[in-house]
Amino acid sequence: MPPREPNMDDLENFLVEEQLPTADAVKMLRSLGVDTTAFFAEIERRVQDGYSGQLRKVAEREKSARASGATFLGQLASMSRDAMIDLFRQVSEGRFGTAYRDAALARCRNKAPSEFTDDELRTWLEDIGEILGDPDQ
Amino acid sequence: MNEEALEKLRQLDWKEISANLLLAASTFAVRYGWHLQSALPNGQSLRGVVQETISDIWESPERLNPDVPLPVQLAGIVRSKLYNLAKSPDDDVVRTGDLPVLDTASATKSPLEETARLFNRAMELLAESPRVKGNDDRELVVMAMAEGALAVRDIAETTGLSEARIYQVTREIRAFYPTIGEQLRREEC
Repeated sequence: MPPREPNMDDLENFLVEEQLPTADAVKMLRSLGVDTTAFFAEIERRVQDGYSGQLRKVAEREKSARASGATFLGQLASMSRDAMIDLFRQVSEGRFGTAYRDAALARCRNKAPSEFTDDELRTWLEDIGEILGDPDQ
Repeated sequence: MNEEALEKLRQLDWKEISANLLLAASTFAVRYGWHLQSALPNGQSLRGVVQETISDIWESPERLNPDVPLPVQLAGIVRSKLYNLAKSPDDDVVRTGDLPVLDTASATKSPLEETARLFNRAMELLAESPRVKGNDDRELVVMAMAEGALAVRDIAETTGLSEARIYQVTREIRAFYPTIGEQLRREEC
């Protein structure tokens, strides 16, 4: 395929590619008439609001995952190997909260979940359920 | 996104990110005849577009692509928002000098051909600009850009200038780029 001809988007992207240090960018914006104090205050507000909102969502997700956590422990006896590995992965990614995640990370420090036998996986998941119990309590 | 990733995102230098994004927005806006003080359609402003973009990111941070630098992703969103605003039916908007929007759509050429044609013309205007002519480094950089070298490393290779010098010259070109955009729009009407 022949190389694509450069276009206006390429030109603009090149011109804006360099990230200026804050002081230089602020100086330039002020010279163009921007009230940077008000602008940054609004940015800070939006970042803080966004962060708080996302933390609320994480807490809600963890709460609802914990509620379903009790049921997953009850289903271990009939779970397939793939389902247990997937469950272990979800636990280690923190879907059921940080306590479960930390326990999973400690367990698989030297091993990938796929290296565990079915019995090892099932026993560990049962144990972790017994030790941590219902995280809401 | 977990708490750790959110905290990492919050800890970024949002002052630097947003200041650079607003400067980028002002460059993207040139083709629509807008600048930092312009009233955009739907009561918007370039500042508002940048602020809205940052809110969007925080609304769905999981959509961020970890393989693409954040400023690049943000700039892409801003560019797209400006394009949509330019296409919006708000007729109460006054563009700089009442010049038409540089639209890349054309009856005879594909949008890609048209925007490549505009690029070539923009480069000609830059080369002819009194702010470039007679300034050796600017001439070299513009010549390299016109040949398609649109990365600092490529320009350094073509021109033999140091990367630091190229960044400096690019900043200078960026500062008077709006006048080139305005000339281009004037020609297109």
